[in-house]
Amino acid sequence: MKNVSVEYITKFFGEIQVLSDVSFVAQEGQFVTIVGPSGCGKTTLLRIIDGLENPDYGQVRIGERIVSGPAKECAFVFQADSLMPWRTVYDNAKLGMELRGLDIQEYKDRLMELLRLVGLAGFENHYPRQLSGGMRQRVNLARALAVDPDVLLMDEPFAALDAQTREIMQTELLRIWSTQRKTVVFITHQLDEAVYLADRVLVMGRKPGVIADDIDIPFDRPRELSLKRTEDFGKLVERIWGTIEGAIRETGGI
Amino acid sequence: MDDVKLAAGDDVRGYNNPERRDLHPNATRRNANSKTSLSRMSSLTISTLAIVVGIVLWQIIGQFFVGNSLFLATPLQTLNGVREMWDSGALQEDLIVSGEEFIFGFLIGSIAGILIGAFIAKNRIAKRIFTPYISGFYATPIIALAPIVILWFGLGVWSKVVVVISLVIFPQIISTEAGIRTTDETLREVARSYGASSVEVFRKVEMWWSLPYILAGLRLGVGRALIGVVVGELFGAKAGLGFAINNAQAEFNMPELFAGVAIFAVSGIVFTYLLTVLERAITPWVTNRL
Repeated sequence: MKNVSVEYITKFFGEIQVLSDVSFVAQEGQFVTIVGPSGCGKTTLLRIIDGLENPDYGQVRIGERIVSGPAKECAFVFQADSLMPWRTVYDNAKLGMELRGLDIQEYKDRLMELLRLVGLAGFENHYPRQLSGGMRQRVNLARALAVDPDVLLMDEPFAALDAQTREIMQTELLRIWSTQRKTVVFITHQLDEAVYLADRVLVMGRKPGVIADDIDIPFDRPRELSLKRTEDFGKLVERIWGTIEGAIRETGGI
Repeated sequence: MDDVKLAAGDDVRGYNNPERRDLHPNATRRNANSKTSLSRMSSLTISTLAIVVGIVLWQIIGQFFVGNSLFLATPLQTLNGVREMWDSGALQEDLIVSGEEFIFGFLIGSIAGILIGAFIAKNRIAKRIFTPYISGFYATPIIALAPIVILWFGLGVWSKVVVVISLVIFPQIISTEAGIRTTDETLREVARSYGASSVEVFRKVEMWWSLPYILAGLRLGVGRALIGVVVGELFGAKAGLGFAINNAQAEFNMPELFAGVAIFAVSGIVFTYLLTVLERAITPWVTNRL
C-alpha cells in the first residue's frame, strides 16, 4: 500500500512558524483536498510532501519510504503557466519522462493515449502560447500523469482560470481521475472546488498552519456539476467556511 | 469525445487556431480597401522597397544637387568603383582578408561570450570577480586601444581578429548572463520536481530560456564585428576592405571609398537578415519578432 503519511510536519521560515505539527494520512487512491486561507502554509505543505522542501521537524512517508529530495512516487501539477514555451504540447508532456529516465520510444503510445485522455488530441504540435489557459493546464496534467506517479500533488491548478473554464476542468479532472485512480492531494482556496472534487477535505487554520478540520465527503461518484447546488453540498461548504472564518478572526483578519 | 473538444476549445471563435491568427483581436486589421497598403506586403518586400527608394534618392541628390563626386559619389559611380576594384582583383583579396577577420573574430568572440556569460550566471563568485571588468570594458571605447593591439599582434589578420573579439565578446557575455539569470523560477522548479540535477536544469530549461537573448547578442555582435574590422584595418593592415577604404581616401578616390563602405553596409544587412532567418528557425516559439 502506498499511503501518503504526513507526520508531525513543522516548518519555520526564519522566525515565523508556517506549519505546526501537521499530520494526516492520505489512503492510496484517495482524493484529498486541502483548503485554507491565504498564508496558511498549504503550498509549503505540498512542496514538503513532494520533497521540494525539507520540514524542520517531522517526516513524510510514501508507502514505507521516507521522502528526502524530489519524490519519484509523486508528480507535481503547478499553478498556471509552468509549461516550457519552447516545447510543443507533446514535448512538454514528455518532459517528466525524460527527466525520470523513462524510455520515450517505449512509452510513446502511452503518451499519445494520455494526450487523448486529457482532451489534447490534435494539439500535439502546438506551442503553449497557442493554447488557452484551460488547455495549458491539461498539458500540465498530462505531463504529471505521463510519469505514472502513485501520488498526484496539485497546487491550485485551476486558480488562474475563469469561472466557467474552472468548472469544466473540475469535471474533466474527475473524469480523468476515474480512469487512473491515483492518490491525489489537491490544494485550493475555493471551497466548492474542494468539496466537489474530494473524498476528504482537510481545512487548515493559519499562523501557524494547522489542520483545523477533517471532513469526509459522502457524495457518490461520478458527480454532476449540479451537485454543487444541492442542500447537503451547501451545508458542507458552510461548515468549512465557518472553520476558516474562525481561523481568520483569531489571527486578526486578512 | 465531443464535449471534450468543446471544453478543450474554450476557443469558439478560433482565436487560438494558428491557421486563423487573423481572427485574433490583436491581429492586424485587414479590409477590402487597404489591399494595396503597406500592411498587405511581406516585410521583405517593404524592406527591399525601402532600400530601392533610398538608393534612388541618393542618386538624385548626388547627380543633381551635389554634382561633384569628390563630395558625394552617386550609387552608379559607387557601383563602377566596385567593378573596377573587382576587375583589378584587389576586391577579392580584400574580401577574403576582411572576411577571415570578421568570421574568426565573430565566432570566437560569440562562443567565448556565451561560455563566459553562462559561467558567470551559474557561479556567484565568478560573477563578483568578473562583473566590474565586464561593465568596465563594455563601456570603454575599446576601439581606442586598437593601435596597441596592432602593436602587439602585428599587421596581419590576427590583430584584427583580436579587435573584433574584444568588441563582440562583452555584449554577448551580458546578454547570455541576463538570459540565464532571468529564467522563470517556476520552470526550474518544474524540472527539479522531476528530479533534474543542476546540469539538467541548465540543459532543459536555462539554455532554452536564454536562446533568444543569445541570438540578440549575436545580432548586436554582427554590427560591432564589422566596425571592428574596418577600424582595426584603418589603424594598420596589409590588406582588407578597411585598408582599401583608407587608401581610396588618401587618393581622393571617392567612388572606391564609397564602394568599400557600401560593401560593409550590404554585409551588415545580409548578416543581420541571415541571423533573423536563423532565429525564426531555432526559436519558433518566440512571438513579437521584428
